[in-house]
Amino acid sequence: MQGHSILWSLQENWRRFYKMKKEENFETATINTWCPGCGNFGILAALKEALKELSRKHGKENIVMVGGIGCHAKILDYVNVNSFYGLHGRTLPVMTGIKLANPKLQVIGFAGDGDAYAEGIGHLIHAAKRNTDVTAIVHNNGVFALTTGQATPTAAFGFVDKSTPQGNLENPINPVKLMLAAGATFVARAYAGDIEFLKEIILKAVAHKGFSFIDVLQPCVSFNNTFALYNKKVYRMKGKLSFDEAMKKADETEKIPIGIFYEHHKDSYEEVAFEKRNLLKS
Amino acid sequence: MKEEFSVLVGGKAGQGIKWAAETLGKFFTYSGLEVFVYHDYESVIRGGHNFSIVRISKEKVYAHLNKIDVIVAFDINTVKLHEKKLAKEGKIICDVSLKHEAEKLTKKKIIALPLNKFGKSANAAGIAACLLIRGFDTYELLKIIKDKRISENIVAVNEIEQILGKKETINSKHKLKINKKREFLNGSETIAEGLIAAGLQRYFAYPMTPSSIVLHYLAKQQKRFGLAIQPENEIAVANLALGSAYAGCKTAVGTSGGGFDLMHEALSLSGMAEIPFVVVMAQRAGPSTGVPTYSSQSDLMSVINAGHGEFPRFIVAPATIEDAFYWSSRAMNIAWQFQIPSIILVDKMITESDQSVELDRKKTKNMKFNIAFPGSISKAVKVSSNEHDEQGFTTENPEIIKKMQEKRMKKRENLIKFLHQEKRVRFLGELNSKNIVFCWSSTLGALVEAKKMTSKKFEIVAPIILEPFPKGEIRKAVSNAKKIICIEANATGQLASLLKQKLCIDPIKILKYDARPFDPLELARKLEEVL
Repeated sequence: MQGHSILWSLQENWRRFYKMKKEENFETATINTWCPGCGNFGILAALKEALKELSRKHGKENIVMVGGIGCHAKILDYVNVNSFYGLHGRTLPVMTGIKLANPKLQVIGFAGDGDAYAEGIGHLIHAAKRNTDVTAIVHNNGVFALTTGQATPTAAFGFVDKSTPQGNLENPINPVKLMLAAGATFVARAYAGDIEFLKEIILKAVAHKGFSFIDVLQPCVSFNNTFALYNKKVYRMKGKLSFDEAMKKADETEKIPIGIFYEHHKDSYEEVAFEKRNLLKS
Repeated sequence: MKEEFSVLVGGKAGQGIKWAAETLGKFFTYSGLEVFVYHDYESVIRGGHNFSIVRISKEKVYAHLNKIDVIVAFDINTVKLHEKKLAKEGKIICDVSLKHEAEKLTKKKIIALPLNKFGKSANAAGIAACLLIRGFDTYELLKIIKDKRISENIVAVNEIEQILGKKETINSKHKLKINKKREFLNGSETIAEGLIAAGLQRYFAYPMTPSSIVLHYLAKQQKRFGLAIQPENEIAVANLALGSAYAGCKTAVGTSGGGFDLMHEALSLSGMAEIPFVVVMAQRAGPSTGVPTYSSQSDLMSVINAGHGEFPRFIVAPATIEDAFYWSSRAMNIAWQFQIPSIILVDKMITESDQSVELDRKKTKNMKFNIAFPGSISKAVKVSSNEHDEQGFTTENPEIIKKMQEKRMKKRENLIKFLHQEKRVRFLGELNSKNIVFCWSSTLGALVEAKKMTSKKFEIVAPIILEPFPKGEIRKAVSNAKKIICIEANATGQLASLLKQKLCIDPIKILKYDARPFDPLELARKLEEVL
């Protein structure tokens, strides 16, 4: 009898250990369908590393991922964490809604450059203006990939693709400058090819109280392969920048700086909303 | 007092017309009488022409009449536009400066008083005069005028009383006892109260007439329920609401036709991800911007068909301001019980008209539902706009797609069964009559009033729940009918086309699409022609 029960408890412990081990990798049964070598793999790897620390700190059940529509959003199917797979361009309002409903949740949103800078650019600016305490990670590859290659707002002038075979007629926007101007309290740029640094930035962004924004340079191996370019040009920034320095730094193109451009502290929207409500005359 | 009478208050935007009408409404409601107040205003902030009609009666009233006993005119335009509506013995109250011009326009009795002397309190002076000439005591009025200009208002009321005391013979004054237990509310307020009663925690809305008053009211009531927030646009509103409901808060949004159009994609997401989504959809005259501050019933097909793909939804069109309270609370609970979108379809006649009401709070409940939220269980809670399996992971597998589509559509059948306990259709008038008159939403008010004015016998059938459509009850009601009429404030007969689609009924249509509500007198005349 006793032998059985020891064996059972060993088995149970092993099962628990095994389960924990599996959970720790946040794996799901979904088959990954990103193109081999896609920049998104770097973001997924950095996220999983960051999630290990975040779940220890906040509890895995208190982390929520939100995504838009596009290659980036498949990340939700590949990570076994609470998730809201929403509409194209509407990641930010869903994130704000979740945070306003339950401020205890740590909300990390994922959007493509088409999502964040085309379809839903208004929401991005308003989330920054509001200083909602959420983290927005933009997979910026300069191209609509899942729809097989059209220019996005970050596509370079002259970029040739299916929708602009004569070359892109528009100049790209600078997401870092845009977010600085919109009043985001945490503005960073990262590179999918520098996983360790991306993980660090994600952790700092989530720890930041208020709206945090990370523009992740993400090569698209099929429609806009920028790996070689970024590997040559990207460098890690050191030290803190003032707002004006950050604006200037964001313009650099000879070399591409990655890291935190700007961070400052301000009460988050949720804090203010609940506080103001309590001041109402009843 | 006589059985009933009506007062029209008119003037320019900015002269406090609405305040004057509402104060009269409160006065009579708290005095134990029944009141209905209709507000007609243009899309301007200052100037233009605004008027409100206050109908006071001993019996419950559901609509205003265009037969007026007293006009309180704050400009000459009011006399010009409305003197025809005055009854034989009707009187016009106006400022002394308007007397000469008014006399040229009408032969009706004019009571000229120095109203403008009181500046911004001219409206208080005007309604005091109105009460006095109808033989009411103004003492109780002072209790209701709680306002920034309270002292100026009191001076105005007292001076008017002195003047009229000399000039007019006040018969035995009606002594009225103020009882604030009776409520004087507009439909926006009853909807908001219904949502709160069902456990509302978050309300999101972008301003749009005639739904904005729900936002204004809830913004003031935040301490009682949670947060009321105005995001950047209606697309944000809908997606915030879905995020909020996913995270466990009972949430609602409010809008009108154009804003609702922007929410269609999120409505479809609510259907796919099975997230409760409650929409207060207050119709106004369209298409497009249309006539922003006027009423219409032209969005029934829009809400029934909104959103791509196929998914079950609940649509209720409360017919009265009082009903809006009960049905808003039901709509919230149904959205959560079935995890579906739930639309409260109203119009300007409901959201912006006032009525004396008694809300039956015992009928509403803040129900708890066993739904998993992020943070509430250790397992990951995944929702998706993609077709997904039971765990929420994206799928393109035809068997799972079929199974999930059937799972969602099954909720419609369950909803139909569940709704059997509700009064899905209102039957009024001569039940089992050979003549059946259909109507929906606020038109019921005008029809009930019209019925009192005609000797024609007919049964009123007003479907309250429009999706899932209560086919069985309606089929039974029309089984012996010889003549079927459908009354709607739109140009195509949208309920009529639903009746045709669902039950092969082809009613005679009485339609009105001048952005004004049905006038009971006019409606009675039309019914007599047709019946």
